[in-house]
Amino acid sequence: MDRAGRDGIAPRVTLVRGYHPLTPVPEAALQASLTARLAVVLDTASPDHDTLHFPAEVFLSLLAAATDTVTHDAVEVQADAENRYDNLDPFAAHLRAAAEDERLPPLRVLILHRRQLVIMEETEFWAFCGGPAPYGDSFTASFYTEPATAERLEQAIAAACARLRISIDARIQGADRPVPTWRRRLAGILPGRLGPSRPRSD
Amino acid sequence: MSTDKGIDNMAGCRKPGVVDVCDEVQAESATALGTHGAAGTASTPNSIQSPVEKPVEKPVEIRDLGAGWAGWEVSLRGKTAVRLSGQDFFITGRPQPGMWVPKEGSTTALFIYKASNPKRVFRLDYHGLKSTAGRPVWHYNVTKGFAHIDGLKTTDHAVTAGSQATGRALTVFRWGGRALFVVGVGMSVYDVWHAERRAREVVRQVGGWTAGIAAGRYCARVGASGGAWLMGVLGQAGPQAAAPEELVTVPVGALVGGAAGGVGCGVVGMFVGTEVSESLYDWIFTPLEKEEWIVLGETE
Repeated sequence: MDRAGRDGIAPRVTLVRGYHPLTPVPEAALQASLTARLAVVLDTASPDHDTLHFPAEVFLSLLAAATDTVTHDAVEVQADAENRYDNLDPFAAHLRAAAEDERLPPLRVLILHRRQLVIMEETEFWAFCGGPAPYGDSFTASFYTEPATAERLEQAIAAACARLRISIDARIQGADRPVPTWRRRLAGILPGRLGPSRPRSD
Repeated sequence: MSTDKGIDNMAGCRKPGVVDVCDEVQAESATALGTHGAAGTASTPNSIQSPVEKPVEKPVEIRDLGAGWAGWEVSLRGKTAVRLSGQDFFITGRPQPGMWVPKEGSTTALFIYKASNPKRVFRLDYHGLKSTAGRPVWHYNVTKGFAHIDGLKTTDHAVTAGSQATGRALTVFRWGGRALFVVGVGMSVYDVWHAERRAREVVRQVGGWTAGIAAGRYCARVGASGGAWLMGVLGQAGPQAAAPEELVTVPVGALVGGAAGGVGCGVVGMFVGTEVSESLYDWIFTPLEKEEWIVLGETE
């Protein structure tokens, strides 16, 4: 894939390791003990486009790189509320066949091995609601893995970016664990029913 | 509530109890918005034609702005139907179902989105950009589908004087409306608490609030119409091209005009309502003169 690819531009990328208070952590990732997060923040601003731009080919390449990082025997792509694919290829074909206006990243991608979730990609659609830096107006691919795999995944993503000749603008270190929002922190200091739920035994 | 009614009324232009700005705004905003049809059937943007010569296009329709000085919050945070270039859109101050929004909310102050697809959206947003070295600024964001559908020439991530002014105006009215409401309630509670005749004061306050809200809601509709009309007229003063500001100004003018009308009439209505309620109370529950209650006491 050359730098421009089918998208015509090379987007800028920011990598975020860990969590921010606004991170919408998927419950499935936590249940599968995929506590390490690597977010690839894809900038949607482009001098070549006068609208928010989704670099579909870049996104697909990053997904492929992440998938190759781990041993797996199944991939499930949840494109939207109605469409699911059992592999990256049919999803990629669907994306490429769609008009440019219609292209959107999938809701999430589940990479499984022996029915166990090993990597989960959860897309954050900040492009539809703004949001704070570094996520504002972006399409962000949040990869959740086991901590032991995190380093390898980041290297694979960085290598994919280098292969696509995409510049990584910044690498940001977030918190190691999901950060409670100020509302949850406030609820934590309130007594009675407004207070936090009891901690889980696990 | 006005919001749902506005959505239901998308199909028709004139319905009972519905404010319809389209006819008033139409002639003025046709050129202000560039008047690009969905298929790009643009008129000559530099010519200002009379409505008689060019009666077909209805680029902007705003209906059912049920705002009052207590209802202003409702109008900003609710949804309002807007019609742009023959397409149905909603304008709203808060994210709607179908939009992806984190739990902590959105940094977007204004959404204009296609009625059939919330992902086709034009947003007025406030946060840091790379182009401003992370400094938060008001700017516009447009998804591909929105621009394609509407045919407007817009620029994504655009930081303009219009976006700054619109964002600041929305912020002032948003928080100003809340502050006014809270202050008003606080003053009423204080007055009741310190009144010698609390029942009388309660009646005064209830009457005042009732009249204030009723007058505010009525004037908000009138103000919305006037605000949209004014923005349409002002839109003709500048370059006659479709810019992001001109997409936003007429609906925002309606919102701001509605808020201003609602606040103004709400204050006047409150004053009149309290005075009338007080007079009525005193007329019905006239206190006895000293001689009267002494006589009454002796007879019992």
